[in-house]
Amino acid sequence: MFKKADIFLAILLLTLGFGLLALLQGFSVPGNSVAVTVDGELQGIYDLSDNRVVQIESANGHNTMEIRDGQVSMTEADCPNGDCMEFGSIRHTNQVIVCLPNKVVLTIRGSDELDSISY
Amino acid sequence: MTMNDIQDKHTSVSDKIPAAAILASLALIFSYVEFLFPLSLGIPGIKPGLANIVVVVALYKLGVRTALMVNVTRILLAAALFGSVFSGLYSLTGGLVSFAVMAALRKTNLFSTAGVSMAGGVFHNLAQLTVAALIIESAQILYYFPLLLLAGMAAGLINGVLATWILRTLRNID
Repeated sequence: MFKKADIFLAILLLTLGFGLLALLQGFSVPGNSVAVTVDGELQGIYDLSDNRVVQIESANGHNTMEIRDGQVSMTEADCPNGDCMEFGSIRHTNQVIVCLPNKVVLTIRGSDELDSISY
Repeated sequence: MTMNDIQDKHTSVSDKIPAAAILASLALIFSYVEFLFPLSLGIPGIKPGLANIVVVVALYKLGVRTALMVNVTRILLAAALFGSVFSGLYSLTGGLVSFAVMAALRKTNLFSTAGVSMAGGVFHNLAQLTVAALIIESAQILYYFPLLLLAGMAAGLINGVLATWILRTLRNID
């Protein structure tokens, strides 16, 4: 059923996929804030140490984000699919939750302390 | 309409239309089943894309033009019946890019049906991810690049193996 080129392509894709996955995991550390952007514009940055519920209003719709125990999740969205609520909770740097229809992006940011340590 | 009509490669374009219509309906049913019973694997938006089994079968049985017809018809009808303009454009991008890749790889004769479908699955997801990054004007979403690459690979491979079995069975009926 398979040809040589299939195997070659499969190995290439697996290496690329798992390689990048390992790289992302390696650089992943618990973050300390979450940035909210709508339409590519920064709406606010919230500290992960404060439990709170944030309402995100945009021209496209409405989302609700919750920060609890250092984790961020989307708890409410008026988009048709609600895919953003399926992302679950995120807490590591560079992890994102995206609501495509409303163009809302939540990104976990790293701590500034880490930069000062590396100096 | 018999299986032989679907199979015959030497029929004219107008003869292929009924076959394309039946396959597009079949693909639409696959899409509808996925819409009714979404598979939640923890990563949002990841689907098996079963409709692509039909597209791959059409590509190998009826050729590029008819398969493209099946593919586009299925996507437009799915968007109109149980999707939105947004989901339709999104799925059209993935569908067309993956189709172009599959048609090109098939022509090289280097890959098996399953391999062609595997590549199609990967490019489907990467195209959609790129569109998503452009829509939200943020590259942050590329964080999901490796996961979507692997998911597209797995889905494309499984669909490709299923398409291979179907094509083999069709040949035996001949």
